[in-house]
Amino acid sequence: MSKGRVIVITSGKGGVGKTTTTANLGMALAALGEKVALLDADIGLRNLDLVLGLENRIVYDIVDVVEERCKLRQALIKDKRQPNLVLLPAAQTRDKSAVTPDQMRKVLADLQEDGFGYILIDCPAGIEQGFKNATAGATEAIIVTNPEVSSVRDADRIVGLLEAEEIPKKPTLIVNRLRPKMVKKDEMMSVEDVQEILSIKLMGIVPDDETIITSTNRGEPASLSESSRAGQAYRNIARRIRGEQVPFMDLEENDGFFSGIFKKLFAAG
Amino acid sequence: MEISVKGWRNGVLLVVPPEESWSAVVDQLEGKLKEAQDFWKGAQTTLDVGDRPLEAADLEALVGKLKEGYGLVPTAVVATTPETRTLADKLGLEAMEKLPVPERSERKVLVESAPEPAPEPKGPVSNALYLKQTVRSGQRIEHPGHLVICGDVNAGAEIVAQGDIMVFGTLRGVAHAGSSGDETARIVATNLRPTQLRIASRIARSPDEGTPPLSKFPEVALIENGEIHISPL
Repeated sequence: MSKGRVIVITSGKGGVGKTTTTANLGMALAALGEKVALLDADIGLRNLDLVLGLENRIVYDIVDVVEERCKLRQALIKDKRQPNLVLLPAAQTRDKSAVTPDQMRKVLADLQEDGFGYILIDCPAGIEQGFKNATAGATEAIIVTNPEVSSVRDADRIVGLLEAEEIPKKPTLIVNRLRPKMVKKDEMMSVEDVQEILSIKLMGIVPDDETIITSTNRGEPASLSESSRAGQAYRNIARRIRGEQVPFMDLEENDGFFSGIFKKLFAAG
Repeated sequence: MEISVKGWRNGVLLVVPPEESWSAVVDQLEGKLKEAQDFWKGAQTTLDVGDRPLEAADLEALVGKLKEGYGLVPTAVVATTPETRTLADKLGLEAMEKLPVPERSERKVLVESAPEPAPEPKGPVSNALYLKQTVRSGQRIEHPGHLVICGDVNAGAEIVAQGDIMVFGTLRGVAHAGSSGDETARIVATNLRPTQLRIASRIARSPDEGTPPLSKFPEVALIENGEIHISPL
């Protein structure tokens, strides 16, 4: 049986979209027929369950598994919409010292035995224990960054750290929260500016999108929505992860001729 | 002798021969410029007439032709005769007596001295460390010899060598050459855009006002008269 892919979603900087990316990619991969497990490695500050809308179904978490108060299967939560997707939540009442890298590797080995094609690990911000836990046992890494100097700087640090770890494949990049209008006016870094510093393979570009805010609040990942542009970007990235060649979206926010007219007509009324 | 058209540090240099008639010079010049007409557009041009006396009308006509006909940007005239220099001045061009010798500090650097005294120089090892990789933010490379990096040094990275440092790539981080006190050490990069440069116990950073000019060519930093100077390689 071929081993599932264990991909850690990391960034260094906090708040750039790791959890959002993990949830949306997981959902999109599951929708394509893959058996997906999502693992929240942000112990003490868990968010992945919120973004998926599964928080009130949590009975056991990863610390319970590691401290052997329950079996792994008991802690896995099936997604309420998508049968191919499960979540292994983090603990909220403990912190990152509650788990060691070796324990993480054991959990991942058990998950792979259960036949999951993809295991996505939501890495916490930082480079300390949480990062070390999340990257232990990962075979691939996706780095999420915003087109903005601080997050690119932190991402570069992470690339250096990942190169030193035993992760066999080179990390790939998702540029998240791009605003093409600002890039055009030279007010925001472009993807090329980011690549000039990071020089890692680009896996996807996700535009800044208000639907992310609403989808997070509702616990409904945007990749489920047909009208969300960020959701569409995540669906494309999921296909690319599976090896498909998918052209990058045209991110120019064109309001379109008719929608512009309608806005003016109805604004007057 | 023919007029020569060459490139130099400050753009295009036109050296006018002393003997030929002015109309012949202009014809030669047109011939040369026509060979690659669009190539010259926007190039800052210096006209070196040596000790040749010039008529005001001739100079004005030439300057006009360079501008309108070829898109050059005449900026300076080099002439040993003061009358010619006055003419140039009247046309709004910089007048110089001779070609400037390459200055060592092409770019402004602010220099601060290190807080602690320079340590006793320990003999560096004779082998250089050659790294074919990009040094990422947060990484620190230290070597008791010369350090050669084939790749970028990203901002937030530190490279420290007791000898010289050479970066075949973009140097954006902090580089410290001659770290054990050798003030003859130098730092070379094909694209020098550092956060800070340190040689022995001297520190230099690029000025706060404005972004440093994009270095279009390799540059070397070394200590001269007690200060770090950067100049084209």
